[in-house]
This record gives sequence, C-alpha cells and structure tokens, in this order.
Amino acid sequence: MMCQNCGKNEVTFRYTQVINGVKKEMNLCDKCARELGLKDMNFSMPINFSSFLSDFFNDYNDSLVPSFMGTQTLQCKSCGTIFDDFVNSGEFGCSSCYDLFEDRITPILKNLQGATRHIGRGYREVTPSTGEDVPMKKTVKKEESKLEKLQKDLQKAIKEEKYEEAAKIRDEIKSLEKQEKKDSNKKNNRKEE
Amino acid sequence: MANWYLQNGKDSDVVVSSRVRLVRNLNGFKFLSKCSKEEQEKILEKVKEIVPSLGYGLKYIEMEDLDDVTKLSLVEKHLISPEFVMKNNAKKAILLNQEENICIMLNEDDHIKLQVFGSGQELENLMNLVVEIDEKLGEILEYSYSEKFGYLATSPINIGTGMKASVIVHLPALTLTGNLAKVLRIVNNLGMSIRGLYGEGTQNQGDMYQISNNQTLGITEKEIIANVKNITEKIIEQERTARKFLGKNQVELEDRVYRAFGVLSYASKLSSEECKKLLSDVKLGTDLGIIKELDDNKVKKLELYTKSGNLQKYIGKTLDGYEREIKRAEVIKQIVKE
Repeated sequence: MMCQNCGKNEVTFRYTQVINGVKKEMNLCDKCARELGLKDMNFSMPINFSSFLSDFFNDYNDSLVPSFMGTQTLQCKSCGTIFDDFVNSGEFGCSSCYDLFEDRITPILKNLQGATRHIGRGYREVTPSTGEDVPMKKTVKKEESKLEKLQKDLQKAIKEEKYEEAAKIRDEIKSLEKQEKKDSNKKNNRKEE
Repeated sequence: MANWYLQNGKDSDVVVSSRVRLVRNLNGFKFLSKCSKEEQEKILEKVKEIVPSLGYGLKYIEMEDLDDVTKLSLVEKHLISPEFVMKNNAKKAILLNQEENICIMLNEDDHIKLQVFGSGQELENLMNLVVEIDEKLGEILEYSYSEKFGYLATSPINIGTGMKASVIVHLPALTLTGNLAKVLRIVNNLGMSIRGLYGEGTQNQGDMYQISNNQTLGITEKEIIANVKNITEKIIEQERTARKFLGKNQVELEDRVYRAFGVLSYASKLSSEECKKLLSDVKLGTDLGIIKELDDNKVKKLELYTKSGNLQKYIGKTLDGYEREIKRAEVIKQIVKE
C-alpha cells in the first residue's frame, strides 16, 4: 500500500485516532509520518497537548481589562513568566504567578475545572499554632479580603465601563498594597532589633 | 506477602488496580517549567534529608542510578510514568517502599507526585493512606498553597486538591459485544477521562482501560473518590452483563478463551503484542471459571512477567527482542505449570 499523504512510498506507519468513539485512520510512509510529527510521538497521545491548550487559552487573551491597567506586560517578579508564556505552554513558573495572573486565569479555570475556588483539604489546618500567631494571621486575612473585595469591585467597574471609578479603586488598591508592604517591613525591622 | 500488583482485590474480575495521587510543590522553589538544574538538585537534597523521618520504609532512589531495564519494569508496574523516564535534562528521583505500593516521583512535572497503589477497587483506603502520608510530608516540608486555589501546581489542570484517582479496568466483553464506544462516550460526558492503557480504539491491546477524574479544583477529595468509584461500579455492572451475554453462547466463548490459552501455553515464541491479546482472553476465561488450569494469581503473574522489562528482571539478564520472545514463552510455561 502507498502512503496516503505523498503517494510515493510504501506505508510503514499506521495511525489510528479515536476521539469519543469517532475513528480516523491514516496510512503513511516513514517520511510523511515524521513530517506530520506522528513518528516520534510517545504512546497514545493523539494531540499535541501544549498547542491544544494554547489555542484554548488564547481565547481569553483579549481580556476585558483596558490597556491603562497594563496587564499585557505584567511579568512575574520571582520567575519572569509573562502571561503569553502561560498561553503557549499551559504552565506557570512559580506560585507567585497564580497571585499575579489570578484575574486572568479565573475564566480559564471555569472552563478547565468548572470551578475557580478550592474547597478540598486545607493546608496545615490541624497544626496548632502558637498564641502569638493566631491573631496576627487573622488580621492578615482581613486585609486580604479587603483587597480581594476591591479587586472584585475593580473588575465590576471595568465590565460596566465605569473607568473613572475603576481608576479610583485601582489607586486604593495600590495604596493598600503599599501600606501592607510597610507593615511587613516594620515587623521585620522590629524582629531584627 | 506478594506485592499489590500480584494480588487480587475487590471486584478484581473487572478492576485490575487502583491508584490515588497528589501533586505538590515546595514553597520557595520555582515550578519545574522554570526550575534550574541547581534548584532541582536542592529539591532532591531537601526531600532526601527528610526520608527517614517520613517512615513507611521509603527508600530514596535517583533515576540516574537505575539501569534501563529496571526503569522499564517500573513503568510496566505503573509506578512511574513513561514521560518521567524520558524527560531529559532533569534531576529526578523516586521514593519507593519494599511493597511498592507507595511511589513518590520527584521532579516529574511537579516537585512531588505522591502516589499510592492497590489491587482491585481500593480507592477509599488509598485516599486515606495518601492523605496520611501527605499530612506528614506537609508538616516537614513547606508546600505551595493558596487559600483560593488550594495546592498550586505547574499546570492549572492539577491545582486545588491536586488529586487524581484512577482505576485500571479490563473490559473484554464490552469490546467483543461492540458496546465499548458507548461506554467511552458516557464516561467522557460525565467529566471523567477514560483511555486505552496500551493504545487507543481498535489498536488497544489487552482491552485494558484507565478511568480517572478530570476536575481537581472546586471539588473535595471525597467527592473525587466517590465519583470515580460510582462510575467504576457502573462499568463493572455493564462489563458483567456483557460477559453474561457472551456466556449464552458457551461453545463460542469456550472455544475463544481455550484457543488463546492453547497458543499462550504451547507457543515457542511470543511477541509482547500477541501476548497481551492472548492474555486478555485467558484472563476473561479464568475470571469466568472456564479455564480450570489457571487461577487469578497465575494470571497476575503472567501479566507482569511477560512484559519486556519485568521479563528481563525475572530472567535476570538483558535480552534482545528475539531472545525475549523465546524466553517469554518459556516463562509462561513455567508459571502455568507451577
């Protein structure tokens, strides 16, 4: 039998793909199989997973966030990942990426996982913490939730195209984050003393 | 006691084995997509240090120190993934215990992939075991975790619980009666994935399929286990119905499974492909009590020691392709006679 693709060489490679019960068969020669990227494929992976993901993620690339937010060039400080890296590979570089790109992956997660929030086992919940740690943790949580609320408000304002309001909220977020940094620096300094 | 892959568990006429795995990453290190070799080495060192305090008889083994046959034998037992073996340019190691029911891959796609295994349908017990190990490990090491997204991972496919529960099922009767495509569709529609263990569709040898959950975020560990368990139970039911249906034509069925048994036990050489196909029929015949010469235990042994890597381990030396086909037939004769 001759190759389905070029019709010149003998068939040395048979490729069968079954997706949800729909069968596709291809009879190819060595050269064509290699060119189509099938020859070196390992095991039963019928599609190139990362490029598949990339098409999928790209749909979200035109996000609702207007350019003044500058998210297009957001880069992770700790590992250098930009959102396009994630779009291309489907992989993040470090845990900070999840914080940085939180808003942008939320719609992706909805599709990918059908959910956007963890409800399973928590981490180190059972471990009893020292008396000093408990109240401190609580205040941190409060700050976070305030920040979270502001971020939600921001998204809402943007969606409703209330850009002036959005800018105000953005400034508020910035000052809150600055304040937090100061606080944590103070704490560290105190510790050093 | 024999290792789990040579034992039989609950519903083992259909369910070959179960696995539960958790994906974890260490705080303070980049994910493997951005992790330098030096950092990878540090991760290995860090884990290696705490192995004794973790317990479970786990041993730290660097992949570099294993020969190819051993690696292949581990892949065949499903303890490590083929991707893990083929991944070049990475510092990789595993933590493995004597019983080989706990295998932790280090620096695969994520820093830590905690896996536990059992024969037959064992999902609930496996979940308890994996959670127990995870709690210990998470106390000694610092995981990457966020309140919102749960346990963080390189790919968002794995975040949240980081848990995948899977079972390997043997579905020869659904295949023979032409009902497999239907089952595959239903499973996919229910948000689970099902794939042929040794190739897809008509190319699938051995009628073995793996079912696992897709969702890891926004779902609890218990729900994941319950979902996979439920769908497995439905599939067991369908496969058993199909087997009963095949049994209506007893002569045809007996002829089929005994022909397979005949070739398997009298051939002078056997390729691994042919062997998988024959073993599928022979396993069906044994599970239905038609083939009296074999029992579950022997079938399990045949399945394991006819796989190339484990065959070479059993014989105790490296063999080329043709030698393997001859030795495979010899080993089968030995096991059948035992």
